[in-house]
Amino acid sequence: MDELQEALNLAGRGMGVVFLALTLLLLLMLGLRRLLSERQFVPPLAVPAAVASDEMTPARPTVHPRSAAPGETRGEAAAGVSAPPAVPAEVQGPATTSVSATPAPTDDELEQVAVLAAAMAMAMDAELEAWPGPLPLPARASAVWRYQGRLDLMQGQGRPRLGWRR
Amino acid sequence: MLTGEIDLTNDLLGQIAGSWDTGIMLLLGFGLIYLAISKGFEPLLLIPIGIGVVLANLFSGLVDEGGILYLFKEVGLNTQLFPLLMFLGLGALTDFSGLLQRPFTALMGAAAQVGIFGALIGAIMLGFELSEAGAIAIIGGADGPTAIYVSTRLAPEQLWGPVAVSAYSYMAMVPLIQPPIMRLLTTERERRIKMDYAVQPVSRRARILFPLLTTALTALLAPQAVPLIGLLMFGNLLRESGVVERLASSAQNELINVVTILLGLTVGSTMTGETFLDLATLKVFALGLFAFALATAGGVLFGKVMCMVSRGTINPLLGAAGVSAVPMSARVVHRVAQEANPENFLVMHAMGPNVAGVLGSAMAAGVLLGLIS
Repeated sequence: MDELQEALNLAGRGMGVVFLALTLLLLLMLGLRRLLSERQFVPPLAVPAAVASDEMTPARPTVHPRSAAPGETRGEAAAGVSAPPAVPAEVQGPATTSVSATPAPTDDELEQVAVLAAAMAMAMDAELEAWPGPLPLPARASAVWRYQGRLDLMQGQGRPRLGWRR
Repeated sequence: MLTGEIDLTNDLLGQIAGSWDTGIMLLLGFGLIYLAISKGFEPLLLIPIGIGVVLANLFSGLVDEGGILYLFKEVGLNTQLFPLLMFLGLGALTDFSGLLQRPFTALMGAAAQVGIFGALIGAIMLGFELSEAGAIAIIGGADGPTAIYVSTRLAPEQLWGPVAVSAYSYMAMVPLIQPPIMRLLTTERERRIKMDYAVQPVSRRARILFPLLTTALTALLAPQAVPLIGLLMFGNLLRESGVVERLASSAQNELINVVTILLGLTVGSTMTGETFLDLATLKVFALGLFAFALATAGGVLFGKVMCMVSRGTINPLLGAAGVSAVPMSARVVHRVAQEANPENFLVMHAMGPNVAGVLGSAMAAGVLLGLIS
């Protein structure tokens, strides 16, 4: 009876160790794949509307020119802010996410932006140092310019990303 | 003299007639050779084992002190050299990409080891001592070298042969043992689940780091398994490093072939009439079958859990491949899945749990050695 109890105990511990070992192995493999086997994409940056359009210009609500209403001058109508024209619900289709609906960036995302900006600045510095002729970029000292330029470039190409490139 | 003390004037026929167990053992030896040649049951192992049985029972001088089979046993089995070298060769032959592409299948390799621990309890209930039970239970790992390694460490010599022959016999019978259990535990709808195969490249660096890190992990969790997994991973590193083609080729071919011959011959030579023909042998075979069946059931049931968790995207049959009879059980999974859905090709998916089963059984062996010895 003692041996049976010991065997039961041993079987429980054994299965526990085997599961633990292979679970750790699973995590190890996931880590290896993530670090080495695949490109590590940073999730799309939640860029505020202001940054997406022009970082130096504050965001403005969308202006929809409309014809003058009775009792309103044409200029007043053009300067006025109106809601988008109403679309019947049956033709709207499913709701889509617009840039203006993007939530505010979280700390993690801001950190990613900062890391991205710093990495790009360093990379550009390294390249510019090696530039053989006079530098054609007078505004290179501006970190904001570097970041904005790089961001525009990346947005033109696709998602901004960090990590190894192969 | 490596031929031992052979009395060639001995009346062999008289000896066989006078001792029925010698005759039975000779029949068994020839039976193994017949099964290997005409039925294709694990011929690489069963032919050397069969010849070992025949030689040991025909000329006992070969297994007595001074005989060549005695020498092989002293050098290769008592020291566990042969199973360890087998693991080195197996590592050089094993491609872990299937596992690295689908890491989640590692858990199926763990679940199938329930066969080992279930057989351990069964062996205790049948009256074996704990150390013997541990040696018998490892049959459920469906891995010949691991079974031999553990049995030579834990069990008395008379159990080495039955454990090895049982392990290899049931590995050869995986296509007969597994499908009924797989069908019993799964529904037609589950078996029909189609899994698309998309090649996911694994970087060379990941394939090189995997054996190194796995060995380190083993050292932390189950140090007794380090000889097995360390050599398995060493062989794998030779293969994956890509810079030692000659060594990898030697490990995959010459080394493993030589060791297979010597291991089979030596294990066979431990099966003499007075040690093999015993009720314990029958119990070992019964427990081996139980262990294989339980391992398959454990794997499939865990596969069902994964199927449920993945909302029906994982075919639960994959769990049966956690029984580490490489690549036999992966092929069986593929075949059973194709019976249900001819468009389903699971063999590459099944290689993940299959090689995870090798690691799982080696881990389980380390646990048994650590906790029992």
